[in-house]
Amino acid sequence: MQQRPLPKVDQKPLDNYLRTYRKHAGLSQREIGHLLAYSDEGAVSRHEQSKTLPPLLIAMAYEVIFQKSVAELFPGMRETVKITVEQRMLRFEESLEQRRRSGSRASRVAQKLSWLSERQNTREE
Amino acid sequence: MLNISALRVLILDLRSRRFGYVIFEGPQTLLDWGIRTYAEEKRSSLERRLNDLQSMFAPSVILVRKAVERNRISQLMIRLALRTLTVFAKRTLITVFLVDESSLRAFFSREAKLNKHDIARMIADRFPELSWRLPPKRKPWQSEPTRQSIFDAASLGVFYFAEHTKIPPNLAPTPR
Repeated sequence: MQQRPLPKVDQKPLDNYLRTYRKHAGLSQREIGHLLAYSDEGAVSRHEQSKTLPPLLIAMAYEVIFQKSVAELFPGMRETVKITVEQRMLRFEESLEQRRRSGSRASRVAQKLSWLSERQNTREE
Repeated sequence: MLNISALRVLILDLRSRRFGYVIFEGPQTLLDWGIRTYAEEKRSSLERRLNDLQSMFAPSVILVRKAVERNRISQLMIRLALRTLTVFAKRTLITVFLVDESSLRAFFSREAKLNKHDIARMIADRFPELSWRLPPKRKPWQSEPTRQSIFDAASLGVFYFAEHTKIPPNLAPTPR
């Protein structure tokens, strides 16, 4: 058998797996729309194509329907949020370090820094 | 290193006016499947459908099953569709592989001679989410059901991943 080479790039998870879970359940977009109290399938289609983001209550409703956590339903979205927030946390930690060195509100800054380091340790575990 | 379980592959069973497609994420997961029609005289029609699938699933590989059409006009249409697909793949930097019927048949008929329906049945056993779309066995005077295309595309996916993984094809026909 002649072997076709594999691509060299590693793939990121999809923004969402709503369509996959829906098709595995054998449901139509209209049926899901009905369960989510939408009048038609338009919104479900837009969510599946990541053209719009579902509001929090609808995301929770998806979680209930498919019995998968929001993180499992929207892994790509979660990854993006995680990266962005982690970058902001790093910048926040740097600014706290600067404030500690300048000596303003030392005890309060120390508490925040200790929370950050505790959080870091929990994440690494 | 490439994580094969995260590799997304779009598989097309290209016909003159429609295509059956299946999207695999790794060898065990089907993300999507279905049939799409396109206007054979308009290149943009096929391209738009491919664009939809690409934007939703971002595959890294496209596998095309080269269908054998007896009609000369259909053959020409498929050739045009393949050209459109090649242009699309170049633009989106996706690798395309064309697989002919004979190598697929050889792969599935290693142990016993199997026809398309037997292979479709095995695919449905392996991916139960497809079982409700399994067409009934065709009589010699009947034309091929459209949904057979989905199973033809899925069998190509099984073939491709069997080339790269140690996962056995597990395609022994189950008695019914």
